[in-house]
Amino acid sequence: MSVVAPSPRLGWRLLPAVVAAAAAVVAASLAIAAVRDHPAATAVRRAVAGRPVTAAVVAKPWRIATFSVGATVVPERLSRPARRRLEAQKPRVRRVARAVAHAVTLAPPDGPAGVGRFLTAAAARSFARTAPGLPKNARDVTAFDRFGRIGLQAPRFDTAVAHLHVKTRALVGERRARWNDTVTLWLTRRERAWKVIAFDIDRRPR
Amino acid sequence: MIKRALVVLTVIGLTTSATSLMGVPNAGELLVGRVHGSFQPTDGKMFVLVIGNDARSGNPTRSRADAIHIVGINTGAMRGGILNFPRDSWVPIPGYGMGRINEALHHGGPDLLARTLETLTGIHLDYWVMVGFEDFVKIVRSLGGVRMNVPTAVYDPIGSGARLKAGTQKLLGQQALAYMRTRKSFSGGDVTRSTNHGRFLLALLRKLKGETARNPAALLRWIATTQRHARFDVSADEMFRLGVVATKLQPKHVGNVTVPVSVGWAGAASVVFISNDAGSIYARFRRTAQL
Repeated sequence: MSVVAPSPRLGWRLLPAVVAAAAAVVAASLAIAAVRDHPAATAVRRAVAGRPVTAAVVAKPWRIATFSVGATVVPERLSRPARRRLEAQKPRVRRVARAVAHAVTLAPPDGPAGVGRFLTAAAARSFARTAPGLPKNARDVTAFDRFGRIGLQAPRFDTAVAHLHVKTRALVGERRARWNDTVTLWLTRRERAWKVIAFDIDRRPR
Repeated sequence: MIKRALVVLTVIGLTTSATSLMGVPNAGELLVGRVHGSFQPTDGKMFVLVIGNDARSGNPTRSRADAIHIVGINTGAMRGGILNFPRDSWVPIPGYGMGRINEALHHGGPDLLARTLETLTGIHLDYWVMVGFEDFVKIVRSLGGVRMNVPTAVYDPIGSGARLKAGTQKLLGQQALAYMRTRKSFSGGDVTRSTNHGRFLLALLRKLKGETARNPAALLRWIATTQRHARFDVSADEMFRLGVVATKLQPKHVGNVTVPVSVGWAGAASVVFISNDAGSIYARFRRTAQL
């Protein structure tokens, strides 16, 4: 009878390989987490039925000009409280516009729920139904330019229109593709929260 | 995709009516109100009564209506129609018997005119918009004029003061008002004038589309311009939503139809009788909000 027992010396010999493998797994998961969490790079999982796509998206930061529109368009002529309101709302409306435009053009990480809180019920339904985002089988996606303008209605600053552009390149199948997205968002502020009541997207190849 | 997003014009609990507008409005002022207490969109359809009154002074809600139109919008299909009514149309006015349709405004303000039209057509109206001479001129001027096609030359120096060549041209405030008022220079008289009002509304829509296509925030400028000259019985949020709907409408998908009429007499009064054929137009408009 012979029993084949692992030699204790073999275990010690495998230790470096095990440690290296574990380190690689940890590094990979950290890298994935970094990609997912980094504001300029998003792991996009397309959960549209029949079209599961995973693509890493590298996106340049937004350049957005925000200004007042309406009765008094020159900020200096706004009353002090109105100017304060404008300055308070600028980052809030920008944040919502950025998030929704990102989701519309570069696919939402978790379907519409990711930006659902920024959409009215009707807009969310439209978002879910139309499933905008990246083309099927897109990879190596780079949104290499993202810019736009947001007009806030003076003097109350509770309605806004955002007009945003995203220029993207990617490999779609084996083909290198470039396209421009123009997103228009109509937003209202109710109960201190900005919501998109309607949106429009115009996608054109370059 | 925008269509579905626009279908829902949320109900905001406004239960006011024309009488709740603060104080008595000025002649010529633009007034916007709800026909019914709450807005109940029916299958993605919306109907707006557009009134042009002839008030030069006093309370415009007790003046006579020179322009009467129902604008229908199908928010699902993003199509619409403008149904024009000549002001001398002889119709039943609820509580006042038969009369010219423009008298309804004098008897009971926009609400009675809306009720008259609802009874006549069976269309459920959602909003009314009324404007007088003065603010019409101011609004058109603030918007920088309206470019439109004038099908035939107009020369009416005594009546409205209109002197326009045929063809596409930009109408500024007073010119636009003169074109809207003139009827004696047309063989069709008031019927042609009603059709011209519809043409003007379409030109206005075309201008809004053009400006917002270049810069969507232009909608906010339009709303601000309107607000400067208007009293709203609807919330700013609701106005914004209506504006968004308007920017998505294609003028070529909005029909402009004047109800078929025949000229006649009611006693000593010269009036127009709405033809029985109008029934099918009402039915189609009621069903689809398109013409």
